[in-house]
Amino acid sequence: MALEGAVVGAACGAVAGGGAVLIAHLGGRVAGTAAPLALVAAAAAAGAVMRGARRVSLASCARFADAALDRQDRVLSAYFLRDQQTPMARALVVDAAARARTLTPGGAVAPRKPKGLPALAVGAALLAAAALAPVRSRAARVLVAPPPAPAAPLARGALDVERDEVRRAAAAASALEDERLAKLAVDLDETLRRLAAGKLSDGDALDTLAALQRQAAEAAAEAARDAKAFEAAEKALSAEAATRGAGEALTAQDGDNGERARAALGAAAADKPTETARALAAAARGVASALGQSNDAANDGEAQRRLARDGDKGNAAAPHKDSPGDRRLERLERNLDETAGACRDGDPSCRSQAERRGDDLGQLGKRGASAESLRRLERALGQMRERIGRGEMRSGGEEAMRGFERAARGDNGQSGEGRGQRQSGQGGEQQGDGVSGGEGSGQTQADANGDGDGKAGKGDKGEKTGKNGGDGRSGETGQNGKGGKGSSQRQANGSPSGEGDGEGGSALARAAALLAEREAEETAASNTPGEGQGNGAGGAPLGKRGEMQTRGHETEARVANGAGPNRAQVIGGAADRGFAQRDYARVFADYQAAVEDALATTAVPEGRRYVVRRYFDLIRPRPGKAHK
Amino acid sequence: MTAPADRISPPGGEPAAAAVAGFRTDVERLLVEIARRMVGQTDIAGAVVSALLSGGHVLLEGVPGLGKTLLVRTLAEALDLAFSRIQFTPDLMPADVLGTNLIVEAGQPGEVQRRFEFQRGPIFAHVVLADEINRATPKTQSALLEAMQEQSVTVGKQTYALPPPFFVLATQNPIEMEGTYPLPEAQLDRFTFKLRVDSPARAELHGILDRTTGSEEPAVRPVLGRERLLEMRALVRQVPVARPVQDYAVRLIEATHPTRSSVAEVKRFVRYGSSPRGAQSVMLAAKIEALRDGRFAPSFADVRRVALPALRHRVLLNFDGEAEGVTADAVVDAVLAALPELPR
Repeated sequence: MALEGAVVGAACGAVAGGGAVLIAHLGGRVAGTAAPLALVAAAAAAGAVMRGARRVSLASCARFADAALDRQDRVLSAYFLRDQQTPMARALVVDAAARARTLTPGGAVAPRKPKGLPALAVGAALLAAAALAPVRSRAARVLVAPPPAPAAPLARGALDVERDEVRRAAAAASALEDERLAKLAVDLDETLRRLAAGKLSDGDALDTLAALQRQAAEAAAEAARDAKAFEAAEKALSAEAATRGAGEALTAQDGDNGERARAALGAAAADKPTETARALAAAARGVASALGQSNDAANDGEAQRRLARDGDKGNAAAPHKDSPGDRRLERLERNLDETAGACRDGDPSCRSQAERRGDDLGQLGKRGASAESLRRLERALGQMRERIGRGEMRSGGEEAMRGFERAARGDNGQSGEGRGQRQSGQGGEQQGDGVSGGEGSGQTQADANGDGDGKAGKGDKGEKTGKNGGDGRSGETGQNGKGGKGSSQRQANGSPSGEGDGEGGSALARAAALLAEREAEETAASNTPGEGQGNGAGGAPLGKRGEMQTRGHETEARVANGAGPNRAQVIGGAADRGFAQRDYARVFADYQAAVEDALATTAVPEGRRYVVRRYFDLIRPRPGKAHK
Repeated sequence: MTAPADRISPPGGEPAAAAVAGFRTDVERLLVEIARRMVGQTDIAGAVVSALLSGGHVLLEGVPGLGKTLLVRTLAEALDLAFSRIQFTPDLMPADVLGTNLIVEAGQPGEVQRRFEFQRGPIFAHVVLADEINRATPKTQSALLEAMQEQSVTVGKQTYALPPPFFVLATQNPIEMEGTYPLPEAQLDRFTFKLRVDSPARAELHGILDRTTGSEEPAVRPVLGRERLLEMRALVRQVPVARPVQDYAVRLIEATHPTRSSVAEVKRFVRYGSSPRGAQSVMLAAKIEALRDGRFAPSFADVRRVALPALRHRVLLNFDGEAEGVTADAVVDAVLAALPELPR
């Protein structure tokens, strides 16, 4: 027993000594061998004393004796039944005593290997390892903070799409003279620069983008309300014969509609004040109606905000009640009413007031026109946040880039046919929908916003949509095609050395400078052919009407938008035809991409993910009977 | 079931030692006599004798043709006891087992007196073979309950004591379960042992053929009388048990209960554990094991040796156990493996 205690004690001492030596070495102190060995010896002695001094019970002794005899528990039974006086108990005790007499103590407890030997071996090994461990120098104990892990570099071209959006927003801001849009474009550009330079972490970028997205959403909602109010006022003016000219001037979209509306409205007020008063009163009601609807929407937004968990999604688009935009509309409504009253009463200030209202309505129209650009920017910001959240900026997957482009456009354009070539300054500001289209020429798909004005040509411009695509060039067979006005606007509004370069410049000036800078970058790269593809919004398919006087008249045969079956019909038809249609393959690709995006950004349980992916596997387009 | 051991005659306990030696000798004689006719199945024969000496009953389970009936008949002949065999069938009625009151006419012609007289059934014997007991209806099976536990039979208002020793040896066939009525738990609990009879080994089969296909059938002589058997039963009750050994048996019974056991198999697969009758059976059988080995007190090993036949029919498996094909034997083995002899 004492030996076993000594072994266990030595094991404990070895473990403790090893730990102490290791700590000493790590602390830069040298521990000799004498102290640890003394500790082991002391522990062994203590263990031996403790186990040796412990009293062994008689029952345990009886168990040892029985184990040495025949393991039939005779001695143990005799020990416990020694007090019984029955013949059987007496016989049991006598029998056990007789058998126990044959045992010697050494035979009763056979020598055995101490149980603590494995622990002693482990302790000895630990002690030896600790003794062999090198002593750490004191100098090495200076803690040096590890350098921060370098962030994964941005993938090449990872921000191209965002820069494109910035350029587009800046161009729109310059064209519409929209301060809000310009400021957002400048801020986003600054964010992109810092992100590209590695000065902005992904987390900070997400915060910044969230704030920008919120501002864009608010501005877009405000602009949409302005557009609605403008539309109502324009209808009211167009409804009266006297102010129809003013209404048409407002919708002219030629840049000086405000001036023309001012003149037309002033003339109408001078000639026919009563009718003008009626029209202005109707316009005031229209503005009030738009204002009321926006307030309803704001109330709904408040309710949704309370219900929604994520406060920065969707609800930010609802403008706050009594916002500056509201007050501006209220003031316009009031002014329109007052002007109408003045004209109705024959006040001499009727004309001057009407002219000012023409100016006001022109500005309202401009503010409303930027709604689409703001929404687009908002979507782009949201998509960029998602990309950063998914880490795609760092990995820079091409597929993710294409998905972003598609999502940022907010559509599923598929019919891009024109091949753009980078020729800055010739293309117009076109908003075509093409993406990744096949080979084609810029002479078809005359749709959307192309302003081409080709003369006797078959088409003139392809729309740039690819990441490096330039503006469309003239169609190969086009004659006298000329660029749209977008080109000229940009030339007029900014230059690389423009006045907006300064830090303290207005947002519009800075946006113009930004735009000019982008232009310069694109010009520098203009010698390389663009990779972008899109559908060019060409001019008249047969060119401009010639000088020859004929009885015929020119009409444009427009391809019906979305000609052919819609998506639901495509999907339904695909199920009947074995999922082998080409149209269905396109639809499937879009839906699958959207689903994968949703699965990547949403906490969907693994089991559900499997079901969704399994479902899409089952409806995957089949090869073979591919027919239109 | 037991191995001979060198025994040292205690100088101070001669009467008890002589009694134990006599017990051991008589049991060996009985087993030898049984072996004259019965080839193999020595463990089964030893367990049956143990159950007989403990005052209990035995349920034998095995396919037909393994010598179950022969064993019981041979045992009855070797003990010189009254033996009756009841073939249990679905139409067997309790009165067919216990007996019934019949109208008996007595007296002179013209003065005939009629009275009810109890006609004893086949259960009024020392050794009763209830062959294929699970083929009778539960009503008839239940007729054995009082007889097995109380050693008496009640018919009407009259209770009749059964002649001691009363020993029921029931058999059942585990493979032909169609049209059978599994024994209820209350009935099962009254059997000291449930023994599984296995097929004989090749050498044993040779012996069986040699003995049973010849012209002479080995005769069995009575080696033990009724009185001696009762004395042996009394001796069993005098065997003392050390508290640690009894505590081991008690903990063994407790460990078969899912609510009190720490054994994983029990917690998972057992619905009900053994009743206190199981502890009684274990302890009595352990005493007999000690006596058969010439010892004066049972050991832990004796308890372990008898635990399986004494407990396998008292451990009721739950649905999980049945569904996973776990046997009660496996559960008892797990308990024996997990339970230390002395509490920690």
